Amino acid sequence: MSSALRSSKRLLRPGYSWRAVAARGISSTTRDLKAHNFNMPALSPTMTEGTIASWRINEGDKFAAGDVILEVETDKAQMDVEAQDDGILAKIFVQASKDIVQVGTRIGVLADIEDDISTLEIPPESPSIIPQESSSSSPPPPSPPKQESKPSPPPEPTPEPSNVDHHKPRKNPFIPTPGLIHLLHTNGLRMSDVNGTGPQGRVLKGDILAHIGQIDKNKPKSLANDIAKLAKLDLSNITPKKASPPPKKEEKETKKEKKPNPLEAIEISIPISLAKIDATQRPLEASIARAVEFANSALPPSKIPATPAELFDEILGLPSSRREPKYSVRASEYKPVPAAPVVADLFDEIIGITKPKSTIGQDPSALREFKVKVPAIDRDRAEFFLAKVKHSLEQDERAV
Amino acid sequence: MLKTIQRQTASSVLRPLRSRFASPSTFCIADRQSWRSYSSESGEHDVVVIGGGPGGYVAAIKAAQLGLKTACVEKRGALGGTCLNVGCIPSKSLLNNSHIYHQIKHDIKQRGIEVDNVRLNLEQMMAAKDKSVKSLTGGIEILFKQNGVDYVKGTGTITGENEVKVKPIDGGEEVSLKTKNIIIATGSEATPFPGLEIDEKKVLTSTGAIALTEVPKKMIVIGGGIIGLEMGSVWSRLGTEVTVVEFLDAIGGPGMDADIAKTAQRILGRQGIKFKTSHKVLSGDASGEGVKLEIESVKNQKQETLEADVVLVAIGRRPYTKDLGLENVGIETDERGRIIIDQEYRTKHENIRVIGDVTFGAMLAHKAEEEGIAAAEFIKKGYGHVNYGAIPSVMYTHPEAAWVGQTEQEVKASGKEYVVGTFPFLANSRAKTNLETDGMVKFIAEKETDRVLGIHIIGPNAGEMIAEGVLAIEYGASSEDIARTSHAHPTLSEAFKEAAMATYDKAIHA
Repeated sequence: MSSALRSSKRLLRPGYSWRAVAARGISSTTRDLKAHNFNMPALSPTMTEGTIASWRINEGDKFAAGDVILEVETDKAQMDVEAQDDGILAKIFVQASKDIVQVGTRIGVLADIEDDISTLEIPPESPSIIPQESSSSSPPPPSPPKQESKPSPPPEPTPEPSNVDHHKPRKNPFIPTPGLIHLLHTNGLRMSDVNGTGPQGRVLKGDILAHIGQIDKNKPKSLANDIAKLAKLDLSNITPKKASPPPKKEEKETKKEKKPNPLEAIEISIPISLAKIDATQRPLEASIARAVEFANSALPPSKIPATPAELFDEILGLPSSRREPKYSVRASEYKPVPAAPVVADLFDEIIGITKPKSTIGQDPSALREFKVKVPAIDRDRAEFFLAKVKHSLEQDERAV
Repeated sequence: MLKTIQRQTASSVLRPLRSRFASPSTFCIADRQSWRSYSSESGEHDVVVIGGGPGGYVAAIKAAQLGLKTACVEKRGALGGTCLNVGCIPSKSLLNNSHIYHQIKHDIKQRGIEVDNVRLNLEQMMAAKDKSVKSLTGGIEILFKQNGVDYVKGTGTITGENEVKVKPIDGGEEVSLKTKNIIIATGSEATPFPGLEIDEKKVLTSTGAIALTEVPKKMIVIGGGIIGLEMGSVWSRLGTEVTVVEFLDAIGGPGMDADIAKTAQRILGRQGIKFKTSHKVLSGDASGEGVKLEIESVKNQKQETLEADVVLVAIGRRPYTKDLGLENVGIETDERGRIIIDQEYRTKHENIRVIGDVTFGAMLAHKAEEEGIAAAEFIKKGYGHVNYGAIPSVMYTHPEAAWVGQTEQEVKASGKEYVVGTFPFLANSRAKTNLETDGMVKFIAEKETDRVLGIHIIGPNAGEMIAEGVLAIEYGASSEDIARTSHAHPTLSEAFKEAAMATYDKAIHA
């Protein structure tokens, strides 16, 4: 028991002053009166009733802050109630006994230290404190029973209606800001009527204006989105230092690509959208064939070195036997490579090239990878070829 | 008793501060004991912060408060970084005291106070400044002790993802700190002007400008940003003829609202500072007695030569990563030297985070502080938050200029419709009684919703007044919210309220 007492005393000291507890139970007019009611305190959040084990001071005694005024016993523990300020115990209404006293019941009257208690006006018991059960045999002055469900008249719309269902999340747990009160009032609105677009869903003035239709409904949200962007650290458009390692790797890679045998076959590919052709419902193969034929029709001369026979023909002034190579394509499903394009873009950015990303904004499902095999030396030619095919299939009506 | 002995033996050589310090409560000891015994086996830290400036020391204290075993590496020999040692704090001491001097000399006669024989004791003014600095930097050391942060005096170099090597400043052997996380907070340094070698005697950065031993006759300030204008103000008040050369056509730097910049230039010009806006410095020559600068008008290419005893280079600051060892772990910087990070301040190594001037965002001590706290919270809780849209800026000239949110130019560029409301201090009763009526409060609110987008103040005490503006932006306030909030009479803050009234409706006193 003693340990329980000690621990509860400590718990009491920092926050639970009797004055704070008492003030919670009584009306706000307390401060205006010379004396004020001292109600049964709730010494824990769950405490609803208790008994007064003993009064440590007598009626009329002065006390100082920190003095123990009375001991209260609950079903769990016996606790001391300490004074927070100096004062006088003007009257005791409920003497120590085994009788159960409800929290909030007036048990005494306290006065300020300067007060003359012989002439002191004893305040009436606060009307809001009503013993809930008749089991309390303390002598509370009989007061007409009131119904708890009818709170004192709140004519204005309040942000938190008193009969709120606490199990449901409330729509707007915020109190209205100064600028809102006026608007809510003049439009007969409650905070809970309005969706908030402010920080953490707070209702702002714009939300009410949008709610009553004075401004565009989407305005507050779009503004909130803009402001949310400013709240973040701007890490867009970062240009890494040129000397940093990744670009160096890039350079090495491009060198490696140039080194191999110029006649070695390489594969070049680009993604081409077939969305347009799909839409026309023409046979796909025919369209591609026409596009390829068209693309082959006007290509720059190949860089493949002429064979000795061709050179000989040229020297003799005979019609050249050389035939410019024509390309054929293979279409396959387009699989974007996740890492490579990012690196390439980064590199482009560094060297100042901005490649238009042709595939952006297109339906990715319509993309096919078009490949062509060429000698490495004709890389440019093949790229030109593929670009023409792409143009035909994606844009040119005739090819389609 | 057992606990105490353990605490002391576990304290490494690096942390002599800590063992002497008694924890304030048993709860706290028990709490710290739990992680100490956990980590002391390997001697590994949870967090090593490199840099003890406003970002670094706040991050270190916060990390320690969150129960992480934390060390802070600082090579200056004093905590607080640029801000406390050679930046914000000493400059504010000089600004305040030079203002008092200037006021006594030029202003208080009209107030009915006559003082004869006013003399400047520059040595004492500097001593007062040093005293403030010393007590504040020493204060952080005490905070480190109280929170159990290991203060390691030396140059920290990252040698691996989980290792920081520290070369002690007083010589001695290099120490290796093993750590789970690293927070880089190495800050920034003044950007030098090409062709002018900084000697902090004739060619100064802000560091030299707060430590001159005599009042120069003439000073040229290259760069009309906040630092240049503050230091220019100090020496101008003490008697120096100050000329500010600014490349742009307005002073105050890019973050300042054009109206405020214009007003500031007018007021500071009246105080005696000369401005050469839209001028660029072509070259400088500090070989002779003083310093010569060739400048050229951006508008008409007209060239002229300026001469002065000293020149203050205040063209900006650049990230400081010297000896940090970024290359050892492959951490990249951008082209301006800022360490590349993501939104959670992480580098390519998730356990190495970067905050403050050495990375992106405004170079402000309080921004670094917020990031320091957020970085520590990211490490411990996986979540931290800084609202970059609500970080105030203050210029401590007289009058002060302060702002938060977007400038009118930025709002205009974003394509939003907006309303501007202003209120001059000339119409404010307190400003009038103080005989300090320069300046105004300016609000920018979105036109339809009335949501405040930016607040810009130039006027007496603007730096304190902006706090209300920051709160307003943070809470998404409308100008009406502010206008309907009572402000005490007679105070300067009424101008703030009236400007808000002028934004959504009409001011009463204008």
